[in-house]
Amino acid sequence: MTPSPASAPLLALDGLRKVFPGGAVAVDDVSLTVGEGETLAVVGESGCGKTTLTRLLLRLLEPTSGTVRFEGRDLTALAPGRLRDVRARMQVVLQDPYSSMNPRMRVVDIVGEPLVTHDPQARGRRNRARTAERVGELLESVGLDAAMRDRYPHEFSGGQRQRISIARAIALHPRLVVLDEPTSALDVSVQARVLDLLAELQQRLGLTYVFVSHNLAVVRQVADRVAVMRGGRLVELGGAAQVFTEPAHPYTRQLLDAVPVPDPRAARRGRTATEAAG
Amino acid sequence: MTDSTTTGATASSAPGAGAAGASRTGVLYSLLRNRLAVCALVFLVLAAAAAVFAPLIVPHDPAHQDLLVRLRPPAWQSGGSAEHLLGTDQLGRDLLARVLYGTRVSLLVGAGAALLAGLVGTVVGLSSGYLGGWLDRVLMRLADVQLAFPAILLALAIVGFLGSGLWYVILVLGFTGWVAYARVVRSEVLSLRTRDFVTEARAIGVTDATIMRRHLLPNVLAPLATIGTLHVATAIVAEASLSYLGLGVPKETVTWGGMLSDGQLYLGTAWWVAVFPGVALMLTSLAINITGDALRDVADPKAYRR
Repeated sequence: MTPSPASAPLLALDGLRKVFPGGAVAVDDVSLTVGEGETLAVVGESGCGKTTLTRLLLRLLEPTSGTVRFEGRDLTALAPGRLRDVRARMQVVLQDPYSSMNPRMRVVDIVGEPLVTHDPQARGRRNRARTAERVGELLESVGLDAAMRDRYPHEFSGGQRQRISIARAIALHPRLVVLDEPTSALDVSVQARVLDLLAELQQRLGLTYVFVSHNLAVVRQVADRVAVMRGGRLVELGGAAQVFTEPAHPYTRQLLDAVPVPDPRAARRGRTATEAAG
Repeated sequence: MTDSTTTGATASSAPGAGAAGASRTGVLYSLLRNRLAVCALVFLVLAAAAAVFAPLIVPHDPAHQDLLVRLRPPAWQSGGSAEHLLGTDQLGRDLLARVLYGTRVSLLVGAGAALLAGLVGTVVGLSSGYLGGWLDRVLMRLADVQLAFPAILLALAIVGFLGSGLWYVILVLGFTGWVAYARVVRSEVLSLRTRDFVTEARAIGVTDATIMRRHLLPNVLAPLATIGTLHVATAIVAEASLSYLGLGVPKETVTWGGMLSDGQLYLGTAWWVAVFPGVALMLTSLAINITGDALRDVADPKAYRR
């Protein structure tokens, strides 16, 4: 499974708009595409509509107008049964590793949930052993021990929980994984290892990522392309290298300037670069 | 002392139970550390055993009348005999036998009503809270209507209309008690449904019914158990009230409420006729309440790892 050259985009949003009851416009006229195998980062400050955008593209929220096309099909017009089939190929990892797992379920059931939901072969008592084995493999593929499947979420650290979430997300060999701030609740060192894991899985499984983050340092590390949002609108969209070196929109430049750079020499270089660009 | 009992308890429940057993042991362990709750639990177990094995404990038939020994005082009072440990009532029936047999009706009504109300209330609360929309509005208005009626008054009206009988009492008390469950479950579900694990389940494509069963129900069981326990006590008292008023179960069935209403006439001359069923009623509902409170204290999954 190598990323094929993007003939038709895997995901295409067109004129997507979400107005909540009460009149708040969370997402305003967003159009973008995500090609197979690439990582699109969505950045912006909290409240800019990033999270609403992910809920819309996962079809967990009903858009006020606009369309979401996944694999060429319009999700907003899909019948519930067909939508369920599509959900097997788009998965999500959420920000908070402490609330993203049912505290009363064991890891084997948490990671096995997508399998049980979409694969009749994994359901029922007779198939429990096989599902457990598959969960063990998945845990090992995210760097955890297969024996951990019998434990409860509260027995794990934040980084381990996020690995469990990732194992669940890749259980069905999805094409698209939406990562909603997957590392922002983690320590920097743990964060780096989770990012490495994500990159490795992308390579190995040919995954396409929509990576939502407010942390530009992280985005710089993972993104092929970057979408900058502000107040529900898309203010800039472009290749990562281009957005980081020559931001076109003043807001993007502000965001970039706000990133603390740990190395003073690099900081000086960065500053001259932005000054030269501006 | 605590060390040895702890290891003993863990070891005995560990085999074959794995991690699930460990968490349940936690709840049980915390419950056992509460001395008062242990006393209450022991009392309830004894009461249940007494209800089941009543014929083995007392030789007397609770309905057998012997007018020659009317209103005999308890054994330790002058005039009492070991034959009737708690004395006899106005028809010469053995009070100990009647109190023990009365436990059957009380526990049956209490548990039956609580289970029925819990079932109805949980289904209503889950669907109301999770599905929301017009269903939620309709169900919650229904709950308001239900609450606006005093339950005991409604029970009175229905029993008066349908006629009395053990199963009618259970049905009536069950169907008038669902609101408490529904409201608590609904409010829990309202906060649970915004949690990430529910969002992820939806994103995976898990159906609403499965989400309610797999993700929501297990997380509302703790408050449910608490309300359920307390409701058992309420239902027992309500049944006694109905029986006291003569609207509960038929006269031939032995109930504490019926005994209370018989005994009040003799309070001045033979206090024991009313006092013993009254004490049984009070102790039982007290024990259930204590257990319910203790259950609420330990039911929080994080609280028992202190």
